[in-house]
Amino acid sequence: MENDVLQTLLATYGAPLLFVVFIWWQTRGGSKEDPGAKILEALADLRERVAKIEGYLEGDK
Amino acid sequence: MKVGWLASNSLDRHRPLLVALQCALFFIGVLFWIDAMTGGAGFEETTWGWLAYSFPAVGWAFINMATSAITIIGLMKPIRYWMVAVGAALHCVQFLILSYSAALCGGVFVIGLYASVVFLPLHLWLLLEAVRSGK
Repeated sequence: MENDVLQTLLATYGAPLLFVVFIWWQTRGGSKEDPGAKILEALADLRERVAKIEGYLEGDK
Repeated sequence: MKVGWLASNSLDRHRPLLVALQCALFFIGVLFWIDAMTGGAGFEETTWGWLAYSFPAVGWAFINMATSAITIIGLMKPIRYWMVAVGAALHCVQFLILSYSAALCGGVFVIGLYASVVFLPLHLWLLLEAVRSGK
């Protein structure tokens, strides 16, 4: 009798609960990806371009 | 700088609203799942059409919960564009079938209108933005 109730409860609420746990597990403490990495990458690219332009300007002199 | 009506940073800009929308869709999926598992009459052929009805109600509820969950996770900062794209694409397929079924396969025409005029374009926009921003 108790097993039947438990099975019904699991079948009815198990999947939604699993999805909620999945969302929480995936989003807890933010992502492991480094959000600053892209900015640093863009900055390095910009420095490279500036160096190239400076090189051209030096050549013009 | 040229900024069209679909700005390239609109996923970032409208992120809270989009998360709220996906949470609402997830909640609908949960209620739909519970209704289907407890033998409720929330899913009828006369409402959704024979095409949608040929697939079980729990299946629709599961897909709705899964796609919303993927999109919610993708939209949490920092945004994971590939997850948003996958979630939005699955939503698009779902709304396309539902709107076709409800409007042209013997369902309620207005239900089909909501799916095709409101939800489908919204998720197409989400998909396009996620693909474009994720490149």
